[in-house]
Amino acid sequence: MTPRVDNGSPHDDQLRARFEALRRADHGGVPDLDALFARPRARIHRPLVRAAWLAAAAITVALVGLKVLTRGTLGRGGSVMPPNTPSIVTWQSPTASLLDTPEQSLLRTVPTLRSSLLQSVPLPSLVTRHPGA
Amino acid sequence: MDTPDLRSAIERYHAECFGWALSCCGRDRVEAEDVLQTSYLKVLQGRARFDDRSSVKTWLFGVIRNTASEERRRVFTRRRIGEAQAAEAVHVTVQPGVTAAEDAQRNAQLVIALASLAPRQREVLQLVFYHDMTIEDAAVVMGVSLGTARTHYERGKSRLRVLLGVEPS
Repeated sequence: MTPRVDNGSPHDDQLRARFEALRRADHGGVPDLDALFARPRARIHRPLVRAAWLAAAAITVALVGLKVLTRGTLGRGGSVMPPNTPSIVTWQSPTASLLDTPEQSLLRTVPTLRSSLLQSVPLPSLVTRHPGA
Repeated sequence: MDTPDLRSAIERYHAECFGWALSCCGRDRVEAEDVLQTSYLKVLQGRARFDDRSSVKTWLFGVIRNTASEERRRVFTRRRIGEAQAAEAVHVTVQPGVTAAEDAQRNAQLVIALASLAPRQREVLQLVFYHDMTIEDAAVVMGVSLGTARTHYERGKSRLRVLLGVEPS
């Protein structure tokens, strides 16, 4: 092979000789072209295999999504409410207990007009006399 | 180019293409043959088209490089193992005084040294020294600018000299 001095230094003969030896060794084992074509073509169809995998993945995702949607809308007779949802009538705020105060029962008892707050008994002097009584 | 011309070009450059495929596949022969087969089929089936912007050899090398790149990630581990095994095999079979064994050892040293270079440095040195291409053609095969190829060439050559113990004469 003619050295290519335009590739840089013309003093690369040692390197070139090393590559030339490797080249000779490699060329001793070049596979026959017909045998190469006759090899099993396991990887030739890789793009098809990849496309098949992508299609399978897309179908799986679509099926899972469909399942989730149908479970939410149709699985409970059209209701989209999750299970164990309390009725609005019985619902209580989680912070409702903060409204409880000590002795709250006293405040719940509304005193009778003109009656003793201590005894909750109407005082005779303050009892209203009805006109016809 | 029609199919007979392409077939003829493949036959003409087959040995060169095999050497290049070996380099692209980390010296893994099985992988190289696989890549070569896939590349040839791409060419013959028209999935890779020659556009007259370079020589046929340069174009073929580009197809092989691209095909090898598609496989690179998958075969990375196996390639590294293959290199280690190749180096080990050479060390085991070397017998002092036997020329063929010395050649094999020197070749193995070169392969190991090339493997330790950056990929683009390795590529440009392989294309220039092994395949006797110009740096311009190597740049086309590698898909880089001429300046980039030249930089990789100079750095790679310096590094390779150090690794092989080759003094610039």
